[in-house]
Amino acid sequence: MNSKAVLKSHQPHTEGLTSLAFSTDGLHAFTAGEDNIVRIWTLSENTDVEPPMATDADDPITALCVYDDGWFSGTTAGTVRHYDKDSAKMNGHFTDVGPANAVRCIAIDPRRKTVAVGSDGLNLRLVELDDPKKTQELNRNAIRKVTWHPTEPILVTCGLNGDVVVWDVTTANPLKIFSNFIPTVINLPKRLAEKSPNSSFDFLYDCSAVWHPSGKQFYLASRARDIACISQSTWTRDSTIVDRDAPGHVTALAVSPNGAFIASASFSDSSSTVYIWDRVTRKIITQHTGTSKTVVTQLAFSPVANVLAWTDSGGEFHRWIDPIQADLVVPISNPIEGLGTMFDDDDAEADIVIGGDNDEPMDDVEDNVSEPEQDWLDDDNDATAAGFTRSDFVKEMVSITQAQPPFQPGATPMQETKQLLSTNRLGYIEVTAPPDSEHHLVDVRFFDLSRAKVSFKDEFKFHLGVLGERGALFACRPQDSRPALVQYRPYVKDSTTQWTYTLPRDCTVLGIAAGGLPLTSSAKDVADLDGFGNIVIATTQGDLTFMSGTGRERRIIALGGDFVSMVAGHEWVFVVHRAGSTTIDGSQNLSYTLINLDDFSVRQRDFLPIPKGHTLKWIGITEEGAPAMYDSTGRLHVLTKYRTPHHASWARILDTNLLERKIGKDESYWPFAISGSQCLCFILKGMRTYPTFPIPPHYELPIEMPFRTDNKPEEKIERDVLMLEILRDGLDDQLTNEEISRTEQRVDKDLVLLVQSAIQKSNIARAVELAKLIHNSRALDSVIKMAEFYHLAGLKEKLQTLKDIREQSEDRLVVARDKRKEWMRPDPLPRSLGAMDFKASGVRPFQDFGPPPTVSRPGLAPAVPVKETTRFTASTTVDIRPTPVESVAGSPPENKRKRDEVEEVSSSFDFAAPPLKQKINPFARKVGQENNRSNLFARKSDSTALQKSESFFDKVDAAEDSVPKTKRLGASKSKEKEKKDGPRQMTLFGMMSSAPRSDKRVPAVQPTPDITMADASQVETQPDLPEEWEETQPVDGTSLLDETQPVAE
Amino acid sequence: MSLPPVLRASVTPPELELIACQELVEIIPLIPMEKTAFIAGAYGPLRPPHRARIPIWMALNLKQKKKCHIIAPDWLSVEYLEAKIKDETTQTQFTELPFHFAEISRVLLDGATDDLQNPDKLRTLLQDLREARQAKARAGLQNLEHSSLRLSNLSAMEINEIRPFFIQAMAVLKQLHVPPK
Repeated sequence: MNSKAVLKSHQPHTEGLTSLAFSTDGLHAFTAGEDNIVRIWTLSENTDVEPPMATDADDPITALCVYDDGWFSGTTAGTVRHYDKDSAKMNGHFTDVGPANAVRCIAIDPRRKTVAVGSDGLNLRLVELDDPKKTQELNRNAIRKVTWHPTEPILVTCGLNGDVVVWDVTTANPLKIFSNFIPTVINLPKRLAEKSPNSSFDFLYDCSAVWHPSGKQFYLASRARDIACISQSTWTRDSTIVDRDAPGHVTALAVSPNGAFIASASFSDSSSTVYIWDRVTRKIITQHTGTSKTVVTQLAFSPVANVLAWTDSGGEFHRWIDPIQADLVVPISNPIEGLGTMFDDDDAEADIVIGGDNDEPMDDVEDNVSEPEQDWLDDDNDATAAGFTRSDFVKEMVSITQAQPPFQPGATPMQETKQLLSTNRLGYIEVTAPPDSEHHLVDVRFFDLSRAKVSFKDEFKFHLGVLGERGALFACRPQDSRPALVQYRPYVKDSTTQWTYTLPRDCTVLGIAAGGLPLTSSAKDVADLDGFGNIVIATTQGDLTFMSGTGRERRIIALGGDFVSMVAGHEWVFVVHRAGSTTIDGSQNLSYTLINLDDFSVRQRDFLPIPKGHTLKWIGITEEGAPAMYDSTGRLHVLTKYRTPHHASWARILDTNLLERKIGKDESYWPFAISGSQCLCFILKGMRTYPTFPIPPHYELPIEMPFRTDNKPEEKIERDVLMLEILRDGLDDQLTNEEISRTEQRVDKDLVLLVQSAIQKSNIARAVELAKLIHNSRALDSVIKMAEFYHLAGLKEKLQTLKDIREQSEDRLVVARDKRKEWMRPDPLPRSLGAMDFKASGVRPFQDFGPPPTVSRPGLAPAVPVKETTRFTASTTVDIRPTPVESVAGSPPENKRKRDEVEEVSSSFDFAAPPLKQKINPFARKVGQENNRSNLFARKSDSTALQKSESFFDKVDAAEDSVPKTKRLGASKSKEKEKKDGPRQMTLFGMMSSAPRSDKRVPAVQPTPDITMADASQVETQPDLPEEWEETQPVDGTSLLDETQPVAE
Repeated sequence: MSLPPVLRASVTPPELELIACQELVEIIPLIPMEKTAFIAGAYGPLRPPHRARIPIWMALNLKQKKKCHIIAPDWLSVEYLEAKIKDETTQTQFTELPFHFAEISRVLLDGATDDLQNPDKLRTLLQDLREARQAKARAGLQNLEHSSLRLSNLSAMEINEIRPFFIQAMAVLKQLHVPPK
């Protein structure tokens, strides 16, 4: 309880049923009791003075009703008296329901024309205020309480038998009957007269249905001792307010004039307690325990002041002044520090409300307590309410459309202790307000868990947040002596990059946006190179402040009208604002502006196509970079051609009302991202307007343009074409990119199928039209073939002409590029600098979807004579050799460049080896080149002898060249590795010979001449490398004779 | 293996689970992954927050590492199963269910309990369903013939369950059967 709260009590009446009503201006209160007296309290005055009384009644007064120009009282004798405004002067007998029927309730309708009188009689009587003789009867027995809908001609009656009936007064028919909803009164009213207080308690209870000022729901104390909230749209129980700390029967209920609080009185353990609940969080804010053995019979909030009043069965009248803390009532004002609180968690509760009621998009706007009267029309966008406006609300009638408050896309109000500040493609920001603590906890949760998690203790109580590509941005309201702040936290480990921007004292942040290039995983290390994106802040000073990702102020752009929402991509910021005021016929009158983040140029500016009576629900940016919006009609639009000024248009890509999954379900959608052909959203069951905690898994709605004709394939093509357009607009100087070509191919495939179906339906014109849309000439060819297949010579001719024309004319891609260029877009697209060179490198592991490479199994290969000599043979005789080994063998020369010289020399002598190699050894170059030239065409034929001898000599030379043996050994070993291309068994041999090889150099050389005698080409087997020679010999010995000889000759 | 001899002839439930784990299931990945080639095929790419369809074995593996949320198949929900139980108890036919429903529901209930809504209720419902179907299978014994048995919509696990006994019984029936002349 608030320390300032004061309770003032009086006992103006005798024990028994008491009634209470406030005058509409809040200056007076009326109380009535079983002592036949109505007292009129003037609240501003000292209440110790005996208030004036109306003593006309002869029977106990059971009902009171006050309206602007007078008031009514009803008695147990069935008389309703009409009095002048705020005075005890009786205007006359208003109506009479018969002496046997005690009046139980009087209620006047919001238009001040009809008075409903509920009594113990058979009927509910409706009496015209101006002409009491005009009456209407609604047939319902024994009414206890009657209440009117705040704006519409709807009545709720609560009967003695526990039934609650909702009436449409215009038709006099019940809209809905809740049987046995409220406690049935066993004690008949007659017994009340017997004054047996305990047994008649039940009947004293104020069981009336209390309407929320918005008229969207009403509250009832149900049979289950809880408070039921019944929604007007469905007439079903929406939710329940219950708390185990508030036991007992609910004896009275009231809703505060702004609709933010609910007061209830409970009777248990023979004492009454009055509770005040926060409507949004459904938690008790404060409570007051009264005297024992009395039942609170009526509760009422003062319409103008922070006062809750009640009367009880003890005949007492209590006024609780300032029961609700000031900071709850006026969220902007500074909370008072060091309040002595009766309940420990009071402060925490207060903060929840601060966060809560502002962010709830269409409900309680923050000014609703400070100016209570205006809230009669709060939440109400329907122009139909106009007829029910009270005369002193003329001002409201002029602009009856409630202006949509600024909102952050993807944010929810505070629910219990949790709140979402922002939701988008990347993830969401979750705020937890732990009870009993002064700070909030902020968790940035990415959908991609591999990204660094951001989580911190928030002492500023940020109320706005946004998840940018490069960092998370937060803003808080001015609090206490501290001005409003904006804080940016880039997603880098280095916390020094975080910065805070302080706004002037009288300035509040309305919206924030953070844009930037997507962070690619490969470019994480060089993220700084691309910067931390761009920040845009909308303030109450009517401006957009542009800042760089490092906190440098760049520009302050004035924004006319009211800011509503914004979202930033990497190139531009998409701002929604209201140029003037809302229109009288229900339009929100919203416009959008697309401002380039780079040079602050305005790219697009136009109205936002929201139908009258509807509001903007979400704005965002698709993965391709197009702005998107979702309104309360359930339609999703994206902006196309937004790059070219004045070209943009809103394409409707989804109508959630037409979704197949919605049929037969009561659900709505809460989108937060669009990518490709998917709309990511949360599904809200029933009347919910935002997702509740725990956050459910999101759903992917397939995007489908709401075409009226039911032709799925055509719709798909048009959707793809739209996507292609958006993608092509993103192209700079290049003609096409991979994604576009892929999409084009896909579209072509679909088009070919459509052409086919058109041909089958012999719709030739359609076939030609579709064929014209085909991008690639190959697909056009297949269409021509198709025409041929169906024996449509005419069509075939047409298509052929089409193809010819297309071939002759300029390339369509060039045309498209020139068209783009015409619109003069001098600045290149921003490209991620860091990401550019990182993707190019070859195939990654597990990413190769091609067929696996053929495993070479020479042992299983057909017995073809193969020249398995060296790595070089392959390059020389590539054409003839059929085995796959050869292709592998062709490559080694390139790798060989690093071999050491001696080896290179020897090889270069033997063949026309790749010239590159020869460069390494200047000594050998001349010979090699000569060889090259001479051997160009007849490598093997004549020069064999020469080669043989030269290699031999060369080898001897090399041996004499005082090359260290170790080096040679190393060379030969690497050589051995290189020889993987040869059959496996060769290496086996090589291994066997490796031991003797190192020391038996000279003997190893000797066999070479022997072989050369047998066949010239045999020499090619690296005479200087005996191990290789040994390897090859068993295989080649005979086969080479057959294979290579013909070539040589 | 210490299985009774009758069971040795047929597949064991873990083996059936292994087979069922080849089925695809929808997940919400929490890590990005390129399209990856496995022996069973290429799956992916995983791009949070987009859903992906991958085999159950892979989903469970990712789930174990807290790298995805598994979206329960449509039939693994309280409403659906309740409707099925109602059908099952009112109709004489077996109701149509996924062929591997027993295995899949089991592995999901074991491996991804926190991704399912009301797992305890699901367990009881599945048990009820199983019992209802078992009762039907038992009733089907009356129609047992030597040559063939028609039980449409029987799931893999149930077939496996009745196979040892039915085969034996049918073999006996075949011996008793006098072919019409």
